[in-house]
Amino acid sequence: MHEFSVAEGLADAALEAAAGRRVEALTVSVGLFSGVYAESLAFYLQLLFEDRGLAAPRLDLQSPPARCLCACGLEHALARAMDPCPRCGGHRRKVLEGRDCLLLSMEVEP
Amino acid sequence: MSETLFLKSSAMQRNDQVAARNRAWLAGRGVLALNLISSPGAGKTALLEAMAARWGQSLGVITGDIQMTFDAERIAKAGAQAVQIETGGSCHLTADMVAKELESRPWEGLRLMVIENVGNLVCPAGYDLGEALKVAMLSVAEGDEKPAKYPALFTRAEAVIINKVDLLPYVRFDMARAEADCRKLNPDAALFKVSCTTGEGLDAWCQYLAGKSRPPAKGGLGPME
Repeated sequence: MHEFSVAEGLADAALEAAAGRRVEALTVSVGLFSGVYAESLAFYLQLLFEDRGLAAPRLDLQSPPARCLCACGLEHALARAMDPCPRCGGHRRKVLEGRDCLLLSMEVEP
Repeated sequence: MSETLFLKSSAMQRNDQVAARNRAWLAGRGVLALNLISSPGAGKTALLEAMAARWGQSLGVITGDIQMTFDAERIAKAGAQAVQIETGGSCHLTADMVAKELESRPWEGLRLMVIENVGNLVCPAGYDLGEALKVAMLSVAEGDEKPAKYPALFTRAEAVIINKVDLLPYVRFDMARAEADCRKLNPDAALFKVSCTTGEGLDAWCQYLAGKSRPPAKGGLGPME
């Protein structure tokens, strides 16, 4: 249900960056550890644009693997939360990317 | 031809800014702050009652619920300073809800602040409130698969409390599995097995917090009663 406030954060960031130009498409990365359900996020994003009298943009919601730095020193991709490090088999790591929902890029009218 | 803008803006940007202000507010007063997250009914309020009995007014609690003020009343009765946030439907607390409560009263003599989140293992995990420690709580009656099912919370939690261990003879809960899954999600998390009903394990939990707080001479948590 918190997808609504996540969508609000993304829509606000997009509209601010667009500075009045029409937003045609959004590319959003939904982090493995963000706890966000992509389909529900898409629904709210559409709703938020329409609610403001704007045409809903095309959405490209990506769910990339997280990026981690293992205690063994290997930087690696992580497709599932409990997978071990591919080199040492350990789980002691820092999540570098994948905790957040990010607006990566967007297309605006010229 | 449309124009492409490359941004990398976080959906949490605004919340994170307010959370940073909360963190500075708390650190500036030497207060250790926790964000306590669990399912409904895991025993957050019972844990806070036990902590209130030990620390009295040096414990502050901001407790979030969709509606009703039962929790704040219980915690205040047990001796702590407590204030209730009624979220009116929101499934998690946000940093600005907490900011408002931090500024709402003097919080005199405060050493430890626990923000008791809305009962929910999903949504609260993503919102930084300005806490020093995120604490995940589950009870054995919920099942041993909870850590594996809710990785967003259990990778972020610096401490995990497994409550209601007095019920272990009566429920199916594989403690070894729950512990192993917690370790895979965050090997450095501190793990506490407690029963808020019998008091088992609560000393270890409170000692852990006292260790994270400033020394009593510098205004940290005093000795437990």
